[in-house]
Amino acid sequence: MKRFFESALVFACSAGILFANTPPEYTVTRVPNPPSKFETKQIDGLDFLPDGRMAVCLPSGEIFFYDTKADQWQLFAEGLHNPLGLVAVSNSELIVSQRPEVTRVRDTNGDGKADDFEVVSDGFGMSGNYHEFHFTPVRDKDGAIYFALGTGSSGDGVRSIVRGKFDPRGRPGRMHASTPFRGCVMKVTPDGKTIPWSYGHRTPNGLGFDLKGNLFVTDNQGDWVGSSKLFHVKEGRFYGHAPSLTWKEGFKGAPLETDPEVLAKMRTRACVVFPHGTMANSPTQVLAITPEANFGPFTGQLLVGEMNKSRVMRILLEEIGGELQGACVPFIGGSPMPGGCNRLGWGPDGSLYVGHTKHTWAGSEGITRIEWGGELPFEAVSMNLTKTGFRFTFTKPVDREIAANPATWPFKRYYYQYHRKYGSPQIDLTPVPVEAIEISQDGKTVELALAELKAWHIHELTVAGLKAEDGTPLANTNFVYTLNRLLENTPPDPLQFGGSASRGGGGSEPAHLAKPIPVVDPAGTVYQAEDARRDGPALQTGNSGFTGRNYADFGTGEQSIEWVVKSEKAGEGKVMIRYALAGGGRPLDLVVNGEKVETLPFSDTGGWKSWGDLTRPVMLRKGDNRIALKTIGKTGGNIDHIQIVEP
Amino acid sequence: MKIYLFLQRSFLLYFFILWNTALAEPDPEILKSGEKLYNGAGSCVACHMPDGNGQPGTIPPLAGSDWLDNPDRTIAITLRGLAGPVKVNGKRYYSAMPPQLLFDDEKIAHIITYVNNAWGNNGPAVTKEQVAEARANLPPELYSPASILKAFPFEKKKQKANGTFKPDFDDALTNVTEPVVYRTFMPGASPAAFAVALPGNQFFCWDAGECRLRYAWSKGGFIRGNKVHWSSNGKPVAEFNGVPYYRARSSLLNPEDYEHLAKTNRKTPFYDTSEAPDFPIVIEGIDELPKFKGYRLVDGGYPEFRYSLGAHEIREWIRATEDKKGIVRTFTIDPAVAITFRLTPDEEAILSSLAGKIAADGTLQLSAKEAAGFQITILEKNPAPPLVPGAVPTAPSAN
Repeated sequence: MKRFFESALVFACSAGILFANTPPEYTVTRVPNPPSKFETKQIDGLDFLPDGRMAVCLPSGEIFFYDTKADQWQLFAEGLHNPLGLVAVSNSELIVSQRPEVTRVRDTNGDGKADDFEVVSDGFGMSGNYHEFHFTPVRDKDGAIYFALGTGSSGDGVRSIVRGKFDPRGRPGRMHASTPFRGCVMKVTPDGKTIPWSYGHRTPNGLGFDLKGNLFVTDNQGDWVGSSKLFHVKEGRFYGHAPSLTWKEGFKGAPLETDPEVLAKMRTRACVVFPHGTMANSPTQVLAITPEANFGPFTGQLLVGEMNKSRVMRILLEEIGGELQGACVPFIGGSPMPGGCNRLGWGPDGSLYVGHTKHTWAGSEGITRIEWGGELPFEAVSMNLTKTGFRFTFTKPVDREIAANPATWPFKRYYYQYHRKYGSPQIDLTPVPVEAIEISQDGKTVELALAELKAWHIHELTVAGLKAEDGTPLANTNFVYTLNRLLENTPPDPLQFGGSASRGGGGSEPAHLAKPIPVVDPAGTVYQAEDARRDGPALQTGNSGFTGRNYADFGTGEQSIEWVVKSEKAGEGKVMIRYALAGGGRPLDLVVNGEKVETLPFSDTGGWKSWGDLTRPVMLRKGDNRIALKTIGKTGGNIDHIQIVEP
Repeated sequence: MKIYLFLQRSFLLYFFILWNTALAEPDPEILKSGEKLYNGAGSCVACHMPDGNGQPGTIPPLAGSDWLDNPDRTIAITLRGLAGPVKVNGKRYYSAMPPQLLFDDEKIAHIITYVNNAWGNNGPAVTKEQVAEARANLPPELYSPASILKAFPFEKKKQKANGTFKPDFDDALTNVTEPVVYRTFMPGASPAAFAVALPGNQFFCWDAGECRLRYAWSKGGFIRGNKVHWSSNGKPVAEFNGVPYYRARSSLLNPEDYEHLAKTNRKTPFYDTSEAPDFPIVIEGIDELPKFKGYRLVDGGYPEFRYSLGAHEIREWIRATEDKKGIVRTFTIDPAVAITFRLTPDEEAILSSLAGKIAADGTLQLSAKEAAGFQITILEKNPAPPLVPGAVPTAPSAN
């Protein structure tokens, strides 16, 4: 029965029915689950032994080996503390990252079960906070081991007894680092010394090398991390999440009492940013596509998993101005591969194995195998920066007519602010028109000249309707290029920070941030509060960060603000309301053309100078429409503007 | 007519009960005799405790127990014994009740009458004739939870909270036949802790953060809630039902701190291990903290911890004593060196060593030769009652 089910899945995939992104040339199948006595099927570590067996570890502390040919599981070790990664050294030896230690787990008597658990490193602290995860060991060619230490969460405190030195400077904040080296990538040198290797990581769930030996680590969106990121890890650098500076030699004072400008100057930018909500919310392991992998024409590129979605992304990097930067694009994704794509490894036949987990967050369980059938998918092989724009190289010749149309390439650019607050809106979001398109003789390369290339901004597009010459639609279309440096004349890093020392954010906006014009969609039209008909709300300017001339300040009692917006045609459009509200809890009714649509639950934006937005679908008529916000007994927040995206 | 008959019978039954109860109003002399027998050396009190509250996880309570609702059942269990996991008032108990062979009918009648009326209980008196009749007529075998419930079922509304249960994985960790070693968050230890179950139902917590045994317990089974702990975000601190009979010295903790040792939500810790002063082995001239090196599974899965102090590697292997009333810690030190072992005096445990001398300050002094290999035995003063083998299954094999 199970076999039948699996075959059915394979069929569905090959037929191209179920998946969202996975190119049809790839098939996804489920691997039988390991027989955990705790009934968990979450996979937190995955690697292959030299003899081709797969080794996985589970939150239960169990390690199993799987013979992919014989379809047989065997228990290798048990009793480890939340191991979140392993690397195979030999057929009888693994290096495992578990909460308290990096451990060498060995079978020394040849009975197939581990009997020796040697500490490779416990040179770091544990406050006992559950969020202090210890992620993925990796080994370089010299035998050095790297691992990554998560920070503690303010959702919980510390235990009564903590391991290692407790430093109160690292304790405050949403995510904390009160014991040594939390928020650091660590190195164990070949002679066994444990040293902090880089600083400024929040939830670094995944290290990996590229084929040149460059080390990478991902991080999750949150405080100090505007959107999730991929960093090229270099010794001694600081990557932005402040609390771990507590443990950086020579850093004076308390990280959260340090001026964010100082922190912004210290930090190294991400080489790839994953836009929150669309690309990835919680990126995981980094895995290079090796020459041994049988996975299409992408050797040398990196894969990165994603927890919240059914997604494995492809990373297209290049060196510009001495640093790596580049693009991410979805690759494998959608049913039947579940979410929680946590750990990645190459099977002996060159297919990709994905271990899925969730740990009470979004995600899933089990193992999937992704196999390339050998036919070329229609995908971009590379996205390179040029002096005027970008050059895409595709696996197949493109349909020239579609590719020559500027509407195929709707670029936009924006950046995420660096601040203590959780996440960041996309700031300075601006459409960037394509001004010239050049298609190579063989039809595989498309050069796009943009109206403007702006350093230190993310350039994103979702390629619209591109097909190959043979009619195949482009399998994955959403490209996000983190443009830090230009090929020449890169201006200095504008830092793009917010907030002030020991404040959660907001505060006085630096000059270069004055009057940002946030736009949810380049196609939208902004209607300012000062241009609306107001019945009650006063126009104010006291809290900075608003757009236009004023914002509307709701008072108590029956008050309303109403805009007249135009729509070219009838249908479902979107309204985005930009507002600020300290503390939340002031809902307003959204009324469209005299009918109440819903009560909008405006949430806390983190302060009156900290602006957020709320987007809702609205049914619009052709011509004029009245959009109103009305009080429901209480007062409301400060409303900056609304933006309408027409149907 | 039928109705009349029914009423008449009910009336008679009612009368019979009234009469019976009135007749069995406990005689103070009998209560006194029952109390004395209950509290006799090695008698009921050893397990069910003077307050009748039993012991969490192993021995069910008698005070307020739903199981006393039928004196015939009580007599049956007392005479024939009961082995198997039982639920009493909604809680789980694993230990077995042996048949009480030393008491005659009258003594058993006195004991049950006392139990039925002690600690706020309000049950009927039991006569020696009732006991004699049961002794003559009951099947001779030890009762299982299933057979006792079949013979003396509970009324419907008490069936959920009283009866038996299918042991789950947690339960299986009690009565293990091989050692079970788990790294997990343990109360009263640094976050780098071990929980170990030994055959013989000796359990201990070993702290890798301070390289030392933290505490040992024997009653109430091994750590619980594993299913949740090992499939969630890892936040829960493990729990166990018993109370440690041995706690190693923790000079940075106050007695009142012990209530907070399982909590995770503190702003600051009571202390951190970077200056923990309680490592028990002192080597002259070495003023540093021990370093944890790992562990090996020896002799069928016993963890042998290894750690170092200066250039000396120390190995420590803990097993249950042969009589299962405590634990033996076997140490080796290489290279051998004279040491002072700071024993922790404990009210609930007896510490001993065959080698070395106890100094005036209570420390154990070992010469280099003695310290190369020595043992420290920790015996529980009030050991756990024996568990009947097979009462719960052993830990499931993973293969």
